[in-house]
Amino acid sequence: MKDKEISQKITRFLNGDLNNEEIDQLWEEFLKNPELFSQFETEVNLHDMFRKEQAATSPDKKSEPGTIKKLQSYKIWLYSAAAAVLISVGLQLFSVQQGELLQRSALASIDVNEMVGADIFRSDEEVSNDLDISINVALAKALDEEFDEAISILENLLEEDLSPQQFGRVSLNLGILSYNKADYQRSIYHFQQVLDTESLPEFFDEKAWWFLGNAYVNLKETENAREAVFNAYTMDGRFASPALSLLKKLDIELGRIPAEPDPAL
Amino acid sequence: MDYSELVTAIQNGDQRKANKMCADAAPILKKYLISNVGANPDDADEALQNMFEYVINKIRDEEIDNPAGLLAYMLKSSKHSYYNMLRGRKRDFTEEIQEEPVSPAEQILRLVDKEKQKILRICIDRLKKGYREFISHWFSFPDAETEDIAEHFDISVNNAWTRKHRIVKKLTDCVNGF
Repeated sequence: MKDKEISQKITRFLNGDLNNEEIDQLWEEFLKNPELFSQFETEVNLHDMFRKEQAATSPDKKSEPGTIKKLQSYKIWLYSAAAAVLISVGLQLFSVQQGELLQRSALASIDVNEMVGADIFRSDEEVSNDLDISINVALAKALDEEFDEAISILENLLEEDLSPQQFGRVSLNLGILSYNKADYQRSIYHFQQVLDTESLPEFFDEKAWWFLGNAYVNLKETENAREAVFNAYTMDGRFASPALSLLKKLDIELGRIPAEPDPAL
Repeated sequence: MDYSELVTAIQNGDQRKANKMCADAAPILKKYLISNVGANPDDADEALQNMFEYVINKIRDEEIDNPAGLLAYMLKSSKHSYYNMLRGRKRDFTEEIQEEPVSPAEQILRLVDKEKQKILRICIDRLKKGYREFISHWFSFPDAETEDIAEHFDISVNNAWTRKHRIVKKLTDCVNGF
């Protein structure tokens, strides 16, 4: 592959336009030429820096960035939905049970595999300590379906002098376990703690926004749910697609766009 | 780096050269596992150690007769080694290990280096004004077509790619020189 071709592929990778096979081909080029890998790292860091700067200067600071294309696609959907109401005006045959349907759209439970162990964040410099080990013990308990014991260990850990990384992990795990016990108020508290913790990897925030949104849906706090789900959506990660789907339902519930007429009527 | 030399070195018993080539490849393969499958640094190291042992034995036994495909084989074997390691640890649990790469957005996030970003800011400030404007524009509008960027700067599309490559190289040299 020529330099220009690789440069183009890197750009496509950063825009999320490469398939798995193409991504592996790119890594083969890096192995052949480590200097290219160094340049790739520079591009990754530039991409992330400018994405964050754009987010910081955008009117809605909470919405994560680099997602202009996604926001546009959502707007297009929104306009289409608005147009649909003009066509169907007068029918007024919308379901009266949107609220209940909305709740059914929320996650019934969160997969415990979404919990994070201490080693996920261990950098080269850090060494594991008793607190890290306790976090992993709690994780093992949860994986073994001993949820109450896992919660107890994690709650005790909150009394300890945790690093921000450890606090973020404990809070996320407690949020997930509380959610699965249908204790949505408590789960909201823990997910917000994650979002308030600085210097956690971004995919952590993505999880917290998405699960927070679902917890709010369960509590029928639709405005709060919309904000959280919107933030998960704009992060353009693993939850973007289900977040978009839930976002549409939330907007219908909030009356921002019309519900689709029941096809059976 | 020509990896057919790795095959030759192993088959000729040139341990020093083989070790050097594996050591050169290891940091990139490690980043690959961290980015692509979400491995943590320690697990990536362990998986790579197992992968190299496996691949070297295959070469020694002359089971790899296509040096051109060695890199793809190493990437694939790294992932298998990592997943096998996870499966070994989760013997007590019933859940399946999903052999799916993490999302593209997360792959990028896992490669972000905040320390390097701090240095990059200094390096960007050191660029000539024209270069600084170009690279800022390029990364501020990731969805823009190269044609639009070229038009904005009144240059050809080919020149836009060349300029971007040149600036990224300058910034890389600057970061590595710190």
